Amino acid sequence: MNVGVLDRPVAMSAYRVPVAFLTLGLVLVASVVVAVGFGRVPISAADQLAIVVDRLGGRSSTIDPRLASILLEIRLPRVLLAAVTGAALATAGAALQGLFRNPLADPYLVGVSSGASVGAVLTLTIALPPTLYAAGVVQLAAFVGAVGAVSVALLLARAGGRTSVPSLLLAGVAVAAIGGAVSSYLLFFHGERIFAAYAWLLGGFNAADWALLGRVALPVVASAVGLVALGPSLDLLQLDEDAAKALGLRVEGAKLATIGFASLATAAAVSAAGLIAFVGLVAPHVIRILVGPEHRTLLVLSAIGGGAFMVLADLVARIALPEGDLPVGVVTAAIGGPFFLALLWSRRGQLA
Amino acid sequence: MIGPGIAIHRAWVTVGDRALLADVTLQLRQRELIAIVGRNGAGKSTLLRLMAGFLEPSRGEVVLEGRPLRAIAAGERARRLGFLAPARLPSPAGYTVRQVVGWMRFAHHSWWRATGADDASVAYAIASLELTGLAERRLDTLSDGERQRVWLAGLVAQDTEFVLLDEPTSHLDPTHAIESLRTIRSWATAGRGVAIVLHDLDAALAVADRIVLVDGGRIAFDEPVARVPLDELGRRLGIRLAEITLDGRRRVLAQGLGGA
Amino acid sequence: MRSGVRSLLLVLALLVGACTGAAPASPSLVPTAAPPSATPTPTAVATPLTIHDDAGRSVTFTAAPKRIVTAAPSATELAFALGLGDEVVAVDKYSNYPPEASSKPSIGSYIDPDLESIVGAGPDLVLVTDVHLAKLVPALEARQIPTVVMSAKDIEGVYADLLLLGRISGQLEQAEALVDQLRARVARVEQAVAGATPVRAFYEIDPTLYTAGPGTFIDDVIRRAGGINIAAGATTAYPQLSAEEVIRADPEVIILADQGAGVSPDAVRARQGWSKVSAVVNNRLVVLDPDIASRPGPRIVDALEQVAHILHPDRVP
Repeated sequence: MNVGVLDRPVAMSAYRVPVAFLTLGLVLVASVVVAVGFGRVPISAADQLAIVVDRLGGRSSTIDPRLASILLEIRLPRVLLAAVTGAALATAGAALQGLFRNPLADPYLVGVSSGASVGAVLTLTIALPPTLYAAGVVQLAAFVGAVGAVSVALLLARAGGRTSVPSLLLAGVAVAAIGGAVSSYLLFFHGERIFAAYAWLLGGFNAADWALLGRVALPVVASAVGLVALGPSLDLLQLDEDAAKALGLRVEGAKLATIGFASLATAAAVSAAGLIAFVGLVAPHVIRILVGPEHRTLLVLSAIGGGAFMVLADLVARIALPEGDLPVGVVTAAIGGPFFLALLWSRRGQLA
Repeated sequence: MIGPGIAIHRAWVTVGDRALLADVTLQLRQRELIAIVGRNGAGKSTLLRLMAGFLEPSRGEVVLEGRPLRAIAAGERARRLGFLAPARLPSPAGYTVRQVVGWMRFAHHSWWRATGADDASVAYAIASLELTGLAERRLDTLSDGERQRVWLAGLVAQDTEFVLLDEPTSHLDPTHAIESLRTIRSWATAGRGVAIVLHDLDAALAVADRIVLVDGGRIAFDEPVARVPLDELGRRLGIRLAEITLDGRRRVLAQGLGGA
Repeated sequence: MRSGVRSLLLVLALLVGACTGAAPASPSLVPTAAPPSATPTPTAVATPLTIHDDAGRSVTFTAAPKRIVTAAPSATELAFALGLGDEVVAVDKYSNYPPEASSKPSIGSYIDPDLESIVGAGPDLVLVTDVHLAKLVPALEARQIPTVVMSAKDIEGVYADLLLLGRISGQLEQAEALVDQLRARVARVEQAVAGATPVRAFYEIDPTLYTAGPGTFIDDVIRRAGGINIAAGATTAYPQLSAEEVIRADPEVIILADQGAGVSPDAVRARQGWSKVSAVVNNRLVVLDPDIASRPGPRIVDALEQVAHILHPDRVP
């Protein structure tokens, strides 16, 4: 019997997955509760309780309506948007790592981020009428830019009705470079608008509201459901394409659907929250260590874990410094970067 | 004109103006094992991929039980026809033997359902290849021989009428190679139609019912083992063959190694 | 079913309470105990006042604002200049002038101020700049919080912002008086430099040679101070010049607004190839406090006086 060190992470006890589901689910709920509890404006526990009870009872409240508004219309949608965004990035990251069979794949790989940046920077550097900004033109442009960039990369990578995954990777890099150049060009010639664009590029959940949350959650939830349904197909794609085809997988359809759903989720997240690093890269790795690589479980738990991580990162971003918010991307990178290094260190030699 | 099983009729596969296969006609019925032999680049793998439906013939046709292969949906095809090139398969990290064998049941479920690691046929396939003790082990921690058994167990689980295998014994030591070929032979005896691409001519003669020699994109001959023209076989492969008889079967040895 | 959902939410609410009960020393910036109605009786404005701000938005006021949040240092300086310091209830964290502004609660970075802190301050006026048009302004509009964009592009624009804020706050007379004073100081500078040979000036915003081009208040200041901005012909507002361009333009004075980036006159003198530039030859490398020169508020006139002194020390003491 060949029982050794390599076998340790192998033994997948039957209750490991349910335990992970339960634990991560509780962590997510607890994160949301804690994150709603704290903010820059202190609201006492009693007041929070009264606000929630009064709102649920439909009663007019005795609490300062400003506090109710902060709790229910600013903080709650902000926290939920963080959860949805984290879930979107982690799910998309897990799916693309599977599709590309590359542990370094992240949701921004195929041009989503640079496309979104071009859209956002464009609308932020050319001075548009204020009503357009109020109508969400920046988010719309970021979304269109993201989807557009992925479409271009896909178009470049397709030949004869098939999509070559390595070509897609290269096309994504090229599209990202071009997008980066366009963004830089726009910023260079509109230096006076650089702060507005910079604020978007830093990313974050400030100024979220229920309407924005709704616009983001819809595509994210739809894509996440789609990706989870594609889980078994992503497992098969870990073999070579002939083998997957021989097992009855419509390989081309599975690839396109994976890229489509992952990009849709990422585009929706990025359009609302800007570019937030590391969540989509790190969260799937953590989940993989916990429950193994099978994609259906991996995708669902990545969504839950990514959501919780983002909620907590945003909480830290909001309350860490007395004088104001940190960009949440700084927090995710500060936690995710060292974590990722530790992960690589502990698994050195195991990554072929 | 076109019989049962998988039938290729006067098919051409061309890339640009180069013919990978030229005017090929071949039939694989159930309950038989054919071995496809030939030099590297002769078109053996192309022929197998044509039979699997991965390639469209530019002329001619490929049919499965009378229906054009391209008209058969991916799922149905995968329930009737298995294909594997074990030597070319990666062993994705972290998956258990049971999970990977379960993937082979993909076509037996609706596409969104998890693959069938919990199916009875997976348990049977694992048991039949004597993998029960390894079922929860990670694929990437197995030896080459163990992993070969996993792929064969997968083909058992896939439970198809026809099985196509590209070089199933390369990278295997003689023990595992013989073990694999015995398993594959037993499938044909039990009623499946099996085609394998092999470089080992002696092994081909030992297990196959028919030998198909591919040379330069054409089928040079397609003969029952007893009638294989060994002189032509040797000439086309550029080696000299010595015929022997073992356990009542024709076998061959390659000459030219050793001696002067 | 409904009651099930409701009790679940109740449990959540209890958890929320439990958590905040243990709240650590909170950044606690903002008076929360004072709902708007508790503020002193507003001086009633006879009729609703509708104004147009620097972004062309129209905003209507029914009473003079009593709780003002300023989201940019320039806005803070405008408000304090009109004696509205007591009405300012929160400022962005870069607002450091006048000094008492620093002690006001912070709403975070000017670039992306925290919405919760702003709303928590209970403002009836938020002064912002065009940086905030895309994100903050829509969020405040959605909450019916009057928001006014103040983004002056030249000295006249600063006057206009002061008068606008004066009208809104019921301090129009004070605003007019202040603007008259500022106009008089500007006129004195302009008279002093009138007829003098214009001096070529390079205004260095950062060590990679970003500068202020046409359409900026710095360009306006240099021109009025009797200078020629060597970047006046640039095609963008804040262009980056190459060292070649600067050396060819041969500025007689270099104004360094980048001491924060460690740039001193010595550092400029040490630059390769700059030794023949007139400003270096004649040792006319002057450091200017960028806070004064980069904020389109009333201290822009201070900047004008300082720049005029730098360019024409003989005429402007």
